[in-house]
Amino acid sequence: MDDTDAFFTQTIVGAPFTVSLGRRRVVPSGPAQGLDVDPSSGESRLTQLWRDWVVLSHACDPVGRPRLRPGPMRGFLERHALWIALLGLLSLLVSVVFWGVTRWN
Amino acid sequence: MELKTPQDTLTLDPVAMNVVNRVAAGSRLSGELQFEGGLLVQGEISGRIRVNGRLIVWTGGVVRGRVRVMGDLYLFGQLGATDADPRDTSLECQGMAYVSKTGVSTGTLMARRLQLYEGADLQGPFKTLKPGSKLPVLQDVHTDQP
Repeated sequence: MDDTDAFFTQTIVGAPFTVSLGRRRVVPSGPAQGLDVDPSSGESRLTQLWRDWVVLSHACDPVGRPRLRPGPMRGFLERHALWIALLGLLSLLVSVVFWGVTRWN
Repeated sequence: MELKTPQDTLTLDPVAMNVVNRVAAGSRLSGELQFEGGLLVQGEISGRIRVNGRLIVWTGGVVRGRVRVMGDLYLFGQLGATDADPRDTSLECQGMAYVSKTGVSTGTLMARRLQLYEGADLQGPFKTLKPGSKLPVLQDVHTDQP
């Protein structure tokens, strides 16, 4: 666009100006999902999304066959998971200290 | 507490944006129209319209008919007649469509991308254009010869 074109464009269309478009419309984020605890009564329950998941997660289970309960080994591991994790961390720490001292000497 | 997004502003620089055409307020154009460069509509245009640039429909401006915009669309005014069928007006935008807080669309809006602003009134349908997709025109339709 040469000077003449720019002159006529500004004369006919107008000078530069700023206009407000408004506030951007954004997709609203949903409410937090998880365990819903009522502070007054202390009752807790799963939110709708998790309740749906509990139902739908078993939608593909074979009909008429009861779901197997976890075995005694899994039960033991789940009950003592924190102690097992702590034992693992302590083992790692002891190993690091042992090899550190060995290398130092 | 509700978080508010900041207000967007647009600086319309006709020279920088190559908006070299204008339909002034009170003017009416109808028929088969083609604009080379951007177009600022403050009046009314209708018919089969092709804009080889940006289209700015200003507040009070009305666009009706079959419209193809090769650049971005800024809708401050109205696309389609009031209470008209969405099929009466269709606009294909090859760029981004910005529908501002004063923009109203009763027609069918098709664009690569859409940015809506609070207060925008989208009454007709919206369709996202995929890269490379074009609306079929008569010349593109090939019938099998017997």
